[in-house]
Amino acid sequence: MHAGIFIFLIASPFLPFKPYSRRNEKVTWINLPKGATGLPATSMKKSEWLPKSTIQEQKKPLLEKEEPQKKTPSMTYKTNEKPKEKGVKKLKEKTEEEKKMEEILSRAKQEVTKRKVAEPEAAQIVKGTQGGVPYGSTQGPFSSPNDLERAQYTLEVRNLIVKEWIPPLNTRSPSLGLICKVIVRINERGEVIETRWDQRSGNESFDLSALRAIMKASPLKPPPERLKMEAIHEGFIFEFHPALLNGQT
Amino acid sequence: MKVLFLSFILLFLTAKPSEARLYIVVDQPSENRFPIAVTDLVPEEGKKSKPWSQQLTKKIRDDLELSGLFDLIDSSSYPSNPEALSPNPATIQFGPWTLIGAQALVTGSYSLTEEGAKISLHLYDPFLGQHLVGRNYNAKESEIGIIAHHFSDEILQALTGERGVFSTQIAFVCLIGKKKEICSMDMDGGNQRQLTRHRSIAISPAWSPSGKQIAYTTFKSGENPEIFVLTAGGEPEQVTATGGINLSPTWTPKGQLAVAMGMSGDADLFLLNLKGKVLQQLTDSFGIDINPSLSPDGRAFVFASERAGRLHIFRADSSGRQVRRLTFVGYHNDNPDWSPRGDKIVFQGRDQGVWDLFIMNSDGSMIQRLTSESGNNESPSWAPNGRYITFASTRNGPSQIFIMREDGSNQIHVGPRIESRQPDWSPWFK
Repeated sequence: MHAGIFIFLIASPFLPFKPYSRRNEKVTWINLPKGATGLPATSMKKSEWLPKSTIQEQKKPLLEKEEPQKKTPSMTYKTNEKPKEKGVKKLKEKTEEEKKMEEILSRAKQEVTKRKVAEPEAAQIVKGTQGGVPYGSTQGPFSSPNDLERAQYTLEVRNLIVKEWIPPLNTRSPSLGLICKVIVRINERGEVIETRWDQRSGNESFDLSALRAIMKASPLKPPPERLKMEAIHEGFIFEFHPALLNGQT
Repeated sequence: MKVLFLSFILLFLTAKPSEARLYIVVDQPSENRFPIAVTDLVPEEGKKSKPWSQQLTKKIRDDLELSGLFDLIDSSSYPSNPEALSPNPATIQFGPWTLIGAQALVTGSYSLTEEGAKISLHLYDPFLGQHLVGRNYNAKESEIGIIAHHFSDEILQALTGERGVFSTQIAFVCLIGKKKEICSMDMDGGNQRQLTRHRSIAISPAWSPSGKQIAYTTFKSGENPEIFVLTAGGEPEQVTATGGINLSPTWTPKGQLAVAMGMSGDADLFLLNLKGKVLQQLTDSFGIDINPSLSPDGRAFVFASERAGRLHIFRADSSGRQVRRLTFVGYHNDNPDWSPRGDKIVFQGRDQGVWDLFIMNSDGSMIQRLTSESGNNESPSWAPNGRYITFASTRNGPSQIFIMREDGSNQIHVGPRIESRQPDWSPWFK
């Protein structure tokens, strides 16, 4: 009997079923700026005209969109504006709150139309099985975050590092598969106080560029109260791999 | 009980520790360009610096700037101590260079000889303290341009893993007086030369795969355009003599010519040898077929055709069969050029009254705009590494030659100030 329980307990992590239910887990979805989402746009219509904006114009939002997020700790309505627009049309009776929301949305819409930066156009969408977003799609922990505050904080730290990371030109091709991981500890002010290797890429120059990016980005953003335990005591793992290119070699 | 206790102990030992660290994926390099420092050459001991040595390093800086990949660190922040500027790989110190963030460093020295100078150039990675490339050149003063371009190619090869194109050339149509001739220049606009003297109209230059010949169309022999081939160091030789129209020659990888030919206005595509003999008819359709461009493996070609009404881009296999329409949007899509990498096709399309340049995958998907609101942009042609495109633009008034990166960035005027059109980028010279 005891031996049976013992074997079951040892083997349970490898069994195909989970011994407890996860139904009650709450999942919060948030929209992230381009460059941090893995969701392809699946319902793009076929193009009817030549694209109006250049590749360069379409690349601009990649960085511009990231800026306002730094100043606002909570998610703004901007990131959700498109899905909600359709919902507004369907409303029949408007409560005060809904009217307010509509007003905010219409202002957001005006801002969007004023913006000069352009979105990718239908003519540029890859046919067939390829993804619908030419720029800024990746797989990773940002794809389905279930903790808004955590996702927000890690995204902001990621953006700080991205701004400083200049990997050697001959190491940028994703097909090379170069990946390095660095464990980083910070203090309460966000200053980097320790770095050590978790995984090296085998390319010295690539690894050094990752370390330089971390040191140049220091101080990182001080962690919010709830994440202090993890950020300060456990630290970060930064995984560097150039899956997204900025039109460079 | 003991067993149960032990089993719990074992469980704790075998269980995977929970991942409490914040995991962050950094998958996007910075928009910042790669920082590089290029110092002036150090003359041999006791000698004064020669002006041409500064021209040489300036040309290397210009090449690197032109590539759009580098951030050239301002020379005012360079260290001045001799150890940091040492031309000797054994004694150079990199500390001061890492302080200013130089991820690559170009230094060099020279000594004068009877014929000219002995020039030594080096590329380092200061952070690794590594000597990446070193080259010695014996050269005359007139050859500094060639040396600069050659070493810039070496720098590109070492830092990007791909061959640079600074030693390549661009052929184009130049307006000499009221006549159109074929001219050529280095890809940075230097070393301009007039290649033909027909005193007529010469258009559509196209480099052969070896870079030793240029095919073009001229009206020299009368009213009808005929194809000529110019061989380096030789006289132009007439290829066609049909008396009809013969336009837009382009080379196959095997060294044959694909040409638009027709007795009336309705041209079709033909494959010719260099003696003008028709080897094969490639297309036969209503409306003109013009401006063919072959895929790098020679198995397929793209061309512009009126068969669908307006001019659109089509694709066919090398025998002219399996014709597929690639563009369905825009009107008057013309001058396709197949990338040397084989994956992209660049073309010009008429949109809102002007010509602009577009790029698409070789199956016609994902059309993207490269130019906008900058006059007429025409006749795109790929650099042999598939990273740059040359084209003609009227953004500054008369048509001139420009280059840009494949994504439309870094659009730079390189050509002469005189009116110039229809650029064709050479292959790498062997």
